[in-house]
Amino acid sequence: MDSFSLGPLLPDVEIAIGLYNNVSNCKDLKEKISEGNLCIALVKAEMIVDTFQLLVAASKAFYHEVEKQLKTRTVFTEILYNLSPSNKISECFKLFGVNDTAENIIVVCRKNDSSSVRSEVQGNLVSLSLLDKICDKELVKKLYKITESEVSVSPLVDCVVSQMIAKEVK
Amino acid sequence: MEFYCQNSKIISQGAEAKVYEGVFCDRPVIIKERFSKKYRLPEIDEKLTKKRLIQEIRALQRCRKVGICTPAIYFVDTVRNILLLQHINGLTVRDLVSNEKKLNPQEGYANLYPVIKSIGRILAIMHDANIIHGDLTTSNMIYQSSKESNKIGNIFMIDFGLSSSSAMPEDKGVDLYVLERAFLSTHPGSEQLFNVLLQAYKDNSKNPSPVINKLDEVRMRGRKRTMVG
Ligand SMILES: Nc1ncnc2c1ncn2[C@@H]1O[C@H](COP(=O)(O)OP(=O)(O)OP(=O)(O)O)[C@@H](O)[C@H]1O
Ligand SMILES: [Mg+2]
Repeated sequence: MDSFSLGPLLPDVEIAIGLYNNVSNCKDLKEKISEGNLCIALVKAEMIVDTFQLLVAASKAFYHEVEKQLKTRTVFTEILYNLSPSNKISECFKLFGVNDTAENIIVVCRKNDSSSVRSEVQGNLVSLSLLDKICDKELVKKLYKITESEVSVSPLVDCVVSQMIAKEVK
Repeated sequence: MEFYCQNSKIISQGAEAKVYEGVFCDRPVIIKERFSKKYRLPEIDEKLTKKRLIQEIRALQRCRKVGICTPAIYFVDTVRNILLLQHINGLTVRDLVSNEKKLNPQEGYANLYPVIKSIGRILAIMHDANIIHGDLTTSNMIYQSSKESNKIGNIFMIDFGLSSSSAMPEDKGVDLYVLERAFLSTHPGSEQLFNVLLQAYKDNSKNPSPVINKLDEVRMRGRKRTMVG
């Protein structure tokens, strides 16, 4: 997994992000998460254009945790909520969560937890640069309502993160 | 506030906002903090400050969706009124025009016609989408030159805190009038340059006449006002 610092918003928070393929135990991982035994966000890899999209969602989530403004139960469910262009909480899990049989997933956790998290996931850890191939860009554009004029002047990831943040003032 | 701006450099202190340069997740960013104005009633002040922040975000998005370059939005704190935007590497159109005057005083800005035309076109697209900027000045446009020498580069529109949504020719005309006043006062002798911009606006707008008529009207009013003193 790769680690990232969330400064200057959160100079003390470091997170780890891993992209996996051929994952075989999503059902099991999801159970552990809901029992509170695994502090991670599990994200559907097809919905992610670039690592930066996750960093924007995670920065906002950890920031709102500090500010006591979380809208969902944990900072990790909040990452899924922040990824979503919609303000409906139930929708974000459908759109960005993983189903029991998912094979391409992204794991986000605190850096300190990363080695124990790695031993939990049954699958191949691959380079985050593979997102470019795995991402379903047409679906992403549709979901975030990104126009062709918009992508003609701005990289897709910038369009996506702007829309993620703009939902706060919808 | 301090922790947003660790290692950040203040680059502009306007009437309503402080603007810093910083870094966010390895990307260069602009941190724009709107502060409260002590002379306003606190309740009114808070509402106004928040309204400007919201208007700014909405207009940045609406413009990009119709193909106008605007900085991407990376983070917002609606409690502290702080916005993190993509840092655009370039120079304000204000500096572009001033530099040109210094560099080629004889040429009468002719070198800038292509860039200025693209600004006229952008304003036409913006108004066709019923977006009123509200504070059009040459400082609120950033010119980013192109890596390819045959292209003119991009104009990014910024500073949308006073923006609004309107289909009224009057509002569009006033928008242009504000720009004209700002343009001619910051760049003396730029009448011809501004006319090139207006011509490009007319050439690209779906329905320029009512807007230009309003612009003429507002100019007349402005003139009368200065005559009365
Ligand atoms: N995204 C950006 N990328 C690069 N430079 C920027 C960006 N946003 C703002 N700036 C710089 O900071 C200056 C002030 O920004 P902006 O106009 O948004 O703030 P303001 O305080 O509302 O302005 P004013 O000085 O009109 O009151 C701009 O003129 C520009 O030079
Ligand atoms: Mg400004």
